[in-house]
Amino acid sequence: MTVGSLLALLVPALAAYLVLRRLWGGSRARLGRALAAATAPGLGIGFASCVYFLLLLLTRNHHSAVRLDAGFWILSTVGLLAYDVIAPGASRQRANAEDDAAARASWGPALVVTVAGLLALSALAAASFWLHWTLNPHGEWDAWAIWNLRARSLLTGADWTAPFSAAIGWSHPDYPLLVPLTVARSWAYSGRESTVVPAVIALIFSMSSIAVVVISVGRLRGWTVGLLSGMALLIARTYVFQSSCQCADQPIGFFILVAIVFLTMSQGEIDPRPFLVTGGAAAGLAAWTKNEGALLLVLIFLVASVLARRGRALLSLTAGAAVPVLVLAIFKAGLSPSNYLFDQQTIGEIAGKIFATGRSAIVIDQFVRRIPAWGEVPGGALAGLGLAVALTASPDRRSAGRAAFALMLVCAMFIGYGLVYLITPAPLEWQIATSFDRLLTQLWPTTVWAAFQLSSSGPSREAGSSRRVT
Amino acid sequence: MIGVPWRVLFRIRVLLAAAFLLWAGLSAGMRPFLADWRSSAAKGDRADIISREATRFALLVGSLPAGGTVGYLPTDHWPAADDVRRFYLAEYALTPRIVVIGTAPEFVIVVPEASVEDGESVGTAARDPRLAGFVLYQRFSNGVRIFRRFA
Repeated sequence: MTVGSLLALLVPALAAYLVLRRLWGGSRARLGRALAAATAPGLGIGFASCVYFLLLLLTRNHHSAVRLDAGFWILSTVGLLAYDVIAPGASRQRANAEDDAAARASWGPALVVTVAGLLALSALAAASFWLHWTLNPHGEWDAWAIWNLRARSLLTGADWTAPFSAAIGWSHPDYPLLVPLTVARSWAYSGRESTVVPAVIALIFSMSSIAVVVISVGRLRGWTVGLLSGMALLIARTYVFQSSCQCADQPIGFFILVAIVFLTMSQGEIDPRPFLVTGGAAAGLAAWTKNEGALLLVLIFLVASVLARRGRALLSLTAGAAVPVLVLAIFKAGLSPSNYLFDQQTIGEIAGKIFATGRSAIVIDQFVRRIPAWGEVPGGALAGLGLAVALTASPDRRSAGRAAFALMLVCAMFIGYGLVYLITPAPLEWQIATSFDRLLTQLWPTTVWAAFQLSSSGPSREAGSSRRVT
Repeated sequence: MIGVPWRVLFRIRVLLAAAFLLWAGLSAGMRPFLADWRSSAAKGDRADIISREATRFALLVGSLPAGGTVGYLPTDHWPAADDVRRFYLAEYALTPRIVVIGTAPEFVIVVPEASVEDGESVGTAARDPRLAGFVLYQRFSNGVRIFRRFA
């Protein structure tokens, strides 16, 4: 990995961090530097892929696109840094004080044990990631046959739109471009292809997901429970394995997590706008990562429109999601071939599949058998998560509300996945067998976050709350 | 004072949860980690199968047009998993060209697994009946050949 490709990832991450600090600092929201640092790399990388897509459309070659892209990100970052120096956010001191308050609420020995536990599981996950990468530097089958193939196509072709050909429908040329464009952009910055780049991007999204879960649970429920939630995330061997596969399931899992966490946290806030802009951005980027993300985007907007007062929530969500949705719309309308779900069957056939009881029975049977066993953990990851939460359970009304709200969204996503299984033109059992583990991987961080809202590091408290008194 | 036993009990529960999660994570992760470790040791300095297959097709890059569609002759066992993987890897190595199954395009890639070399010389007609109308355009040291349709 060259300095160029590293900077291609780091500079947008820094810019995103500065934007998030500015966005969150303006409100009384209980969001700090640590959460901004955990969220920024994924959001920054995501928005960088959007900007690069627009520049490629404009210039039609990587050479010019890289120059303009570098100029855009350097100027933006320098401008944001200068603005931060000239007009520092008023929330800096308060955020630190809140961090300290949350940390003090945890019991020392338990904190030490959970830090050690999380470090041990993180070390094992990191070592597994590295070993898997040395054995499979191009990633697993789907990584090289879909995501890294698309990245290579985008980089090496004289016409960068050539790879969106229905002739290679097996590589799903209709899939959105966040991951392949991020890889291609980094390669374009360094001037050469390297198998390290997709692995580093996979690592960034995996680490960011763990950090967002630990920090946001820690801030809401105490640091001991936050660290326990990180451990729970890593007990699932399937999740750790998928981290190293270089597919798009970890990135979309990160965006699903951020979107649902921020939408959930926005409930009851005096000023929900910073949460909703961040959540909207993550939902938009999820749709720009994989087609499943479109389901999340629709769901988030549906829920927000039901809960919204005076439509301001929808405006904030739209502001966050606007850029990713714009590039997705351009891609889907102008470049992408149609999706295999819809171009291989008629509407009548799709409707027939939805109401075919035989197919529903197969999907339900597969879910019932696969969900409890998911994770390659003794007893199943969900049971392990349930036991850990049960041992530390100490919910209050607000935290139970957050858990129920987030789990409802996770369940809605899962029902959506089930509907896609019902209508798939591919052999149903094969489709489930080859994708189920990855779909649950996408939802696992959010499930862990939601479940640990029911836990607490001590007597239930919501330190430093900026919530509206109801 | 009433809160003290509750707190002690709660701390024990937190420690139990941490111990359980550590056990679950280690027992789930150690076995595959050790299996990968053994695979890595056995592999040594040899390239992985994807790199090897991709390198095999990368030799063809200079002999094919820079873009457009290229044909690929499938094996008799198509779509066996190994054959599908090899075909996908041809696309991976030769992108941005679009590699398609069949002999419709002007250039067709033939791997030894699909058609054994039959002593053709460059410029002579293919002897495999599936390649009727094609001449051998290029032969590579690893057994892969490119055939080209003659007018």
